[in-house]
Amino acid sequence: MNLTVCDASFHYDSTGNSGFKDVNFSLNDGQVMTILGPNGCGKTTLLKCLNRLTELHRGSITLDDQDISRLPRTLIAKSIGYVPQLHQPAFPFSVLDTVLVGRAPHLGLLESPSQQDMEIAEQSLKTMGIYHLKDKSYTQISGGERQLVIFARVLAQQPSLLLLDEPTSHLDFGNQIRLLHEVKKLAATGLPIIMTSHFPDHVFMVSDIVAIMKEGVFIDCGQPDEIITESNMQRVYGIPVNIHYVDGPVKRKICIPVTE
Amino acid sequence: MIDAEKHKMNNKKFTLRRFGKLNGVSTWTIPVVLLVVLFIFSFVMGRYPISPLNVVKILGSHILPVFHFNSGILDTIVMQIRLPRILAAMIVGASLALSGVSFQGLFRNPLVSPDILGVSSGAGFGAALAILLSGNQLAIQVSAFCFALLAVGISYSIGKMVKGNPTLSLILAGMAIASLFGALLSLVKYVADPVNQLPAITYWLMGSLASVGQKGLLYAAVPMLIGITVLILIRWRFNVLAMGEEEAKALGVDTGRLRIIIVVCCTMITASAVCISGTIGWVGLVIPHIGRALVGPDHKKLLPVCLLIGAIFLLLIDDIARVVASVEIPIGILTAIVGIPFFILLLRKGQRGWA
Repeated sequence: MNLTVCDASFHYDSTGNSGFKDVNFSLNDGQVMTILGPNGCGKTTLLKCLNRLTELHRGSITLDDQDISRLPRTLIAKSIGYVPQLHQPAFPFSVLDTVLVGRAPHLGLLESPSQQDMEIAEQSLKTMGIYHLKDKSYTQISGGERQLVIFARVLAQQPSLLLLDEPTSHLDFGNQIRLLHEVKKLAATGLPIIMTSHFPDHVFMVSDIVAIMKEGVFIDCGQPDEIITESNMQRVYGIPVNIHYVDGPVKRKICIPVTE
Repeated sequence: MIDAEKHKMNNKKFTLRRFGKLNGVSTWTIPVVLLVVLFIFSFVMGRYPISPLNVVKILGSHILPVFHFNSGILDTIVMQIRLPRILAAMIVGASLALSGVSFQGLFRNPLVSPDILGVSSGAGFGAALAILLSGNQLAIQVSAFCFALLAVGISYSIGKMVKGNPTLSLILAGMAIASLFGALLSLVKYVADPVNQLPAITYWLMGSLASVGQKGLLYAAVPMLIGITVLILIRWRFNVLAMGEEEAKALGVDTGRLRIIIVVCCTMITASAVCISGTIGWVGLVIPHIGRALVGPDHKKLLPVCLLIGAIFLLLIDDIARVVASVEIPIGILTAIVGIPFFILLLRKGQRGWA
């Protein structure tokens, strides 16, 4: 699966989506790309455009040489899985029912999940290590567990590309790291993943490519070690940081804010 | 493993699903048996005494020509008077409950009832207008049906014009149009002749199944059965819609098209129900909550269960309306008097959030 974004632009609109301009990048199998940038810089809007939840105003997005603006919605949903920032279902569905919903793109309007769909959903719960929550109500589990459930749902969708909007934002420290491990494991199976984040350290941990976005523009894009620099961080977030390489079992760079 | 068992136990404690898992008895057995018993029993209810055995014999003689039953009066009462009314109660109850649960699912809101888009107000105005213009029974029904569709049509078009959250704008538009038709209804009442027309309008608005005839039922049943069938067929999609507009889209659902299908079906069945029975409140709001307490929020089970409970509930209420007093009590009044205490009891016993 290859995703290519060419000169993509979106103007700010009345529904509150912030805009972006002339975005270009390409992603291949097994690559993890993180989009880093301050609040309201257009990260979420860009993700929504990649999934055609919102239409681009200019430019193109192609999925294996097919322009997504010409693909029917079911076909996009079969290829692209999307995990939104906040997920609040209106009903206290059981965890299994929530995950089963991920089978929707594979089912016709009049169909409901078969035994096979049930097995796929159960398998995704097992993959995420939350099979024991199967019959629990979605409203009875913790925020971290919910995020894992939504992850299981997107796995049940069996997409060939994943879009994650700040997947770690509502998780505690331990769950953040656990989730990043899952992201890495999924990428290792060949699934390309695009996620947005607020944490430079997370980028060092899982990303192959990072894009830094400010006011709707990619100001830099490439390998994390080259892109996440003290000067770039200062430029985007307006705070001084130190970036160090940590040896030993860690073997990666870390980003530390400088405080007086 | 032990952990998993514990979670299971916890879950059972929190929902009232015991009903559905009673020693392997299927979820459907109890409501289906209840409905069949109540169906037979309802023929017995009334001024003219008929034994349950005779009811079964008469019904049997019409299904299979093997049985013969020679009693003209009994046959007329059972087939011409009581059967249309019993069928009407069942199908109206089922329709209101089903459109209630569908709208609550579509709008992701537990306070929504079938008349949220102005169906009842439109129908009420249509019926009152026909009464004012001295229309006959058929004219009243047709007018109620047309204005119900008109009201929802206007609500839907306004909702589409408003930018932003599509379900929220639809609800707001519906509330506005319902108020508008409410005002128009008041106007008709104001100018109506207070001796004949005004009582007729008031009585119609209270809801009654007393005037349902074979023909009226037959005409109304067609759109109701079509709407019910479609909603039952697409019921699993409600689970996807419940995830929210954006997530449903990301899961490949054409939410706009699905919304139209649901609104059209619900409007068709509610408008047909209202035009033969008048405005019967409360059923569409309360039955879905009872259904959820019994089988949980999964729409795959919830819609059929609501269909059954709706039919049982209104049939029971109509039986009470017929026999409790020497004068028939309007059914719309009884649904509230019987339904509300039951609903409060359920809220007290129920589990979390969505009752």
